[in-house]
Amino acid sequence: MTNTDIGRTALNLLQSKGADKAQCVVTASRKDEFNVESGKLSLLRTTFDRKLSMTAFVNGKKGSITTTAMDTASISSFCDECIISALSGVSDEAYDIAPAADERIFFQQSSEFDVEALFFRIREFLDDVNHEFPLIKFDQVICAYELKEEVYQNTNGTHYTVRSGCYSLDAMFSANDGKHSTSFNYDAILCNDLSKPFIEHGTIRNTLRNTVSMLYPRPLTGKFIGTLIMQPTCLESFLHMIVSSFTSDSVIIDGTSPWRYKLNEKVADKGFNLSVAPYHEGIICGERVTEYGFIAEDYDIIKDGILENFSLSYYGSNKTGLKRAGTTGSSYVVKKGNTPFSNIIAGIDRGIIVGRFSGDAPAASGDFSGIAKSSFLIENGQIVCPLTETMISGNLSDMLCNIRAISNEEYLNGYTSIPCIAFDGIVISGK
Amino acid sequence: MTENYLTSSKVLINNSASTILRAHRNTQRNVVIRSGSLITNSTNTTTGVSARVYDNGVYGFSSDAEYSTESVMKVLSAANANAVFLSARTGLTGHKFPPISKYEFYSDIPSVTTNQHELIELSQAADAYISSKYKNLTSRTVRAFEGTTQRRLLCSDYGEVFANTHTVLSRSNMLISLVATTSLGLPVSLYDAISCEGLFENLSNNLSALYKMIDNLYESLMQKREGVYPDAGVKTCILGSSLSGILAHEAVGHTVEADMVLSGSVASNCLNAQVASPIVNLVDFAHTAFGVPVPLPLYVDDEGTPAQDAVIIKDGILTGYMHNRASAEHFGAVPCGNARAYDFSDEPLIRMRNTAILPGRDKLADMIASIDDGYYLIKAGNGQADTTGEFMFGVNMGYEIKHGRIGRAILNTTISGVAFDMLKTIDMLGDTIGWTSVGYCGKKQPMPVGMGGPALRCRVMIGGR
Repeated sequence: MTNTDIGRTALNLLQSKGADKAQCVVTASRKDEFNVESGKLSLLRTTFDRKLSMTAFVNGKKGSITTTAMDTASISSFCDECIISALSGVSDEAYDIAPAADERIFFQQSSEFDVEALFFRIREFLDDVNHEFPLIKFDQVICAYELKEEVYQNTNGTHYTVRSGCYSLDAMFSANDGKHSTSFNYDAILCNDLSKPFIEHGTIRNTLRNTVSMLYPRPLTGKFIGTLIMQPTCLESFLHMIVSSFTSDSVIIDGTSPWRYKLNEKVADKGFNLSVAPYHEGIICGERVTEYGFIAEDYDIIKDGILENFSLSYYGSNKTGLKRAGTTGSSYVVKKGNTPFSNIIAGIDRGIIVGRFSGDAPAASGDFSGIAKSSFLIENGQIVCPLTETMISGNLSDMLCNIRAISNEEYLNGYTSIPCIAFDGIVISGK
Repeated sequence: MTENYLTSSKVLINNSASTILRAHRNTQRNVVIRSGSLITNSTNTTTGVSARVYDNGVYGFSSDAEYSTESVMKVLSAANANAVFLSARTGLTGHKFPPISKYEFYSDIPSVTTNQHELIELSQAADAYISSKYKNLTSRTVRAFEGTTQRRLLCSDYGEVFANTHTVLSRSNMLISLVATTSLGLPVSLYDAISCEGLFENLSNNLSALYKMIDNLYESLMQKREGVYPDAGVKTCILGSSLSGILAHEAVGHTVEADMVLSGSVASNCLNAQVASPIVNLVDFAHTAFGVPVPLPLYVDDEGTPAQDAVIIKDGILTGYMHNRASAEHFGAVPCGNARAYDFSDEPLIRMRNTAILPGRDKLADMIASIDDGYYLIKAGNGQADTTGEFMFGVNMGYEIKHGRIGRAILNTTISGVAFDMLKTIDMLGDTIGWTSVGYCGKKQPMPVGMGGPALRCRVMIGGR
């Protein structure tokens, strides 16, 4: 059976067994992946995956099942379980599926898989790093090509197919001179093809360089309130925290978000713009169909410092009466500013640059604290030294209102497009 | 997964290689009720088979989301082809694993199955209990979970089958999260969980324990609502068992996984060296500790190695690492069964099982009384650690200690330090061990783990304002 046939079979069975409405997503993929462990190419992995996710709605109640079993008898059995699960549930008027829409196919594959070319690029990457940064020691490098088809159908007649294929590189590493070792660092990219060496992508070379320069760090003494420059990887993790803590379903439905009643109000410095933009030219294989069966759209969360939208799912939108977000993904795009990175540093009396944040999820109020990883001390406009054992703490909401500068460089890695941002008023503490 | 399609396929195994065939089924039931609304009501079952072939010093791996004679042949063929591809290009030849003793193991298969309704019913009962008893909450969330893993393994070294096993492992938990509002209008939250090995009925049958946990959680949240920020800096603290368990796992455990050691972790230069106070002992338990089953008992790993305890720190000395077969051979050690794979499509990696700091002789009351100005940190949030041993744990609940007495509750904070420095500051260990097994450890793949420890007194950096 084709993926469309599997989904259609499941929908028909669910309706025949009592579902008032239903949706199915069939996903089939093949992934070929080279793994480097402790610096050695050690594993070639090929996975053939297929899964069927179905949701049935009965008397206003909802149940969901995901299975890898694709034969008709198994699908029928799982449909029975899905209906029983729904009947066990609680009715909620906010449950729904996307309305009827014309059939669409989205094609996001610009190159065929070439195993020899991928092997060439991964070995070249290891050689390039060894040549340019001989002190770098790889913990793990995963380099893959994934070909995927996802078919969404529901009982309103909506039918979308998304076909995608792209390459990825995830690298985790540290620097080691035989006596000293840095913290681990990582970087990751997505790309459509293998037209250029991996080391030329995104922030990879910069992250490797920063890691080597972290080899002889000093602990910070005492505590001060200063400026924090977040590099793209660190800022991306903070964007996830901001969206989760302030604009997501759970905190908006509950009313626990500090931003619950701040739509169309100022929540950040006027230079700050945050969008979720799966169609942005730098985003690779961005979301095309949401989990509720809508065609994805770019949308702004914060525009010129004003809160434009929450990140609500269809359920969250129905539950609150607020606008549904255009996408359920996290293809964050932060608009670049107009200050060169070097000028940002030059204007800081005392602060730090942070490459990575190691911390727990923030408190419901937005308070956060954690370790500033891959960090450097700035004094009198100069980078003084790499730091170790340095903690940062603050409040996400306050932080966004205390933006000192946004860099005019933007960093694209296929997942996001993010500049560097300097925030004032952060508590920075050492031993 | 009662069918055995692996044994009939053994004639297809490459006799010059080391091969693992694994049929694997994961079933997860999830229910989430948030402030009375059923947000999640789902079951996820993945079934498939994988083959891993080790030949000429490299691994070929393949998996298929189907379990049948045809799929076993398909993944065997693809894994062999991948090993051939890689060995031809890396130029490695000839290496073979040392022999391993033959092993057969079969778990009892549970005679009962869980109905999704059981999870919903208990979640609704918990939600109703909270909403009727505690009216001043801003929000409440109840999560119920049951996860079961079945594995069937056929392992062959160079033509000889050495392991033939079928194991079943289940765990269940309920997590309660409450949110209240401070007098300044700011939200403050706290969560706790109860968990058990086995199916969900083990939790359903212990309603009083669930209600007691909710009552304690509410009381702690009300104290936290009036809480203060800790004073940032290095302090003398008592870490409760929730935090000492995460310390054992994150700050020490990851640095002594042999693949991390080979990548240059801080532990690579510390074998047989003093890394902790002499009162500290740390073990990664396989299936039994102190005469009773650990939270996640494992009897064989996903390379077919029989599981046994891995002693990591003895009397403050780092005595060993955690291994798979390849790393054990590299270091001349005995593999203890730490090669684990999460799903059918995952290759085995070096993972922890039930990692714990062993208890000492001190009473908690004496430990608190011994501190003039410090903190008693009780509930951990997430934790992360580094290859350097630098660690960070979130702290969701704790109290000041002033002049030997418990003081005000504190707001969310973070503690951090360098493991092998901080462990040397431990000078008191509580006399009882507490275990947790609710979340997952992340390392390319998620993995359920257990972690445990006693209350311990140490010097550690605490975040604050």
